[in-house]
Amino acid sequence: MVLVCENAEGDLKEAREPRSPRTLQKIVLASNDVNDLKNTLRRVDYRTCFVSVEPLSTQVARWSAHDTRVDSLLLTSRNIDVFDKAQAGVMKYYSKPLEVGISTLLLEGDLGTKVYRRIRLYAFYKVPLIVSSVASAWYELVHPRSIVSLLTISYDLPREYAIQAITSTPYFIVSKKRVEDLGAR
Amino acid sequence: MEPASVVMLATSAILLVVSLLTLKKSISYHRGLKKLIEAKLRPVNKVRKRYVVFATICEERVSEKEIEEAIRNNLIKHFGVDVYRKASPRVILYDVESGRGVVRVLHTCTNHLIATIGLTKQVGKTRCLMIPIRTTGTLKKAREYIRKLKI
Repeated sequence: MVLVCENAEGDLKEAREPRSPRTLQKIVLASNDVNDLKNTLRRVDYRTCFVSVEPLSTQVARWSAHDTRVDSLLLTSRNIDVFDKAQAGVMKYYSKPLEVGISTLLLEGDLGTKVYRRIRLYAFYKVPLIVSSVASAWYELVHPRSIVSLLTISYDLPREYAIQAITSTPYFIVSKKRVEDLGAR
Repeated sequence: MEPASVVMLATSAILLVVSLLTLKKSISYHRGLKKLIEAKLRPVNKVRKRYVVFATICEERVSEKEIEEAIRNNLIKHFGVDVYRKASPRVILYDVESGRGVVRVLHTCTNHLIATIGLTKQVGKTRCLMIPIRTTGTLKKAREYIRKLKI
């Protein structure tokens, strides 16, 4: 679904052929026990679903960082302390992306400062980042340009890294899934 | 001419020359000091503005005033009063029918405004989605983009 597109002259025009968006199921698994997570992952169709793990313990975080069935590790206000320097090293080694929701990016107070430090640390380690809108209604969607501006201003991240967080990094994962005509015009 | 008056004349001439030399020296000192102070002061640049074209998708119609208030509240919420004071965003144009408009902002705070526009979920009591479309340097260009835009 494209609202506005831009042609070569920079003019804004209506998209001639509206694209029908391909949807992908996303599963978020919150766990603090490795065995529980293993059992749950056995029942999940990870070839067609986007599997995101919200690790609530260090063990789960370390284990899910090198499991190929897990697509990303979710950072929320509940598990900030799990994401330490060693975890960044493991995630960097296995190229496992760190997923952050917009609501987490906009946290205030002590949690906000913790999130800032974690994201800066993971960016320093060059861990791939994914920013998701966590939207459940149409009005909760955020324009990509706004996300890039937020990451560059509030989190002092390089513009290229911020753009990758909403384009190539998620697309790399989604493109591996069995979804027909994904990205085709 | 009396010798006393000659002496006085000579003395006054000498004093005049000395005072002139002192004045010249003090002027050169003054100039040097002025240069030293001016070198440390950075020039104040002219305040430049940017015009951000945006579109709104709302449940109900919203007014220009409500949009400006929503932008102000969100900018203060996310970036603080200082940024708001510097940015001083103003809704220059807003078409209620099409839901498109233009906000004027300080050129250094364009990204702050774009982030704020994207994060605005509510205008007044209406649920609203705001989309930043384009940033221009002149109001004329911004008007052109509004006219060309077809959603």
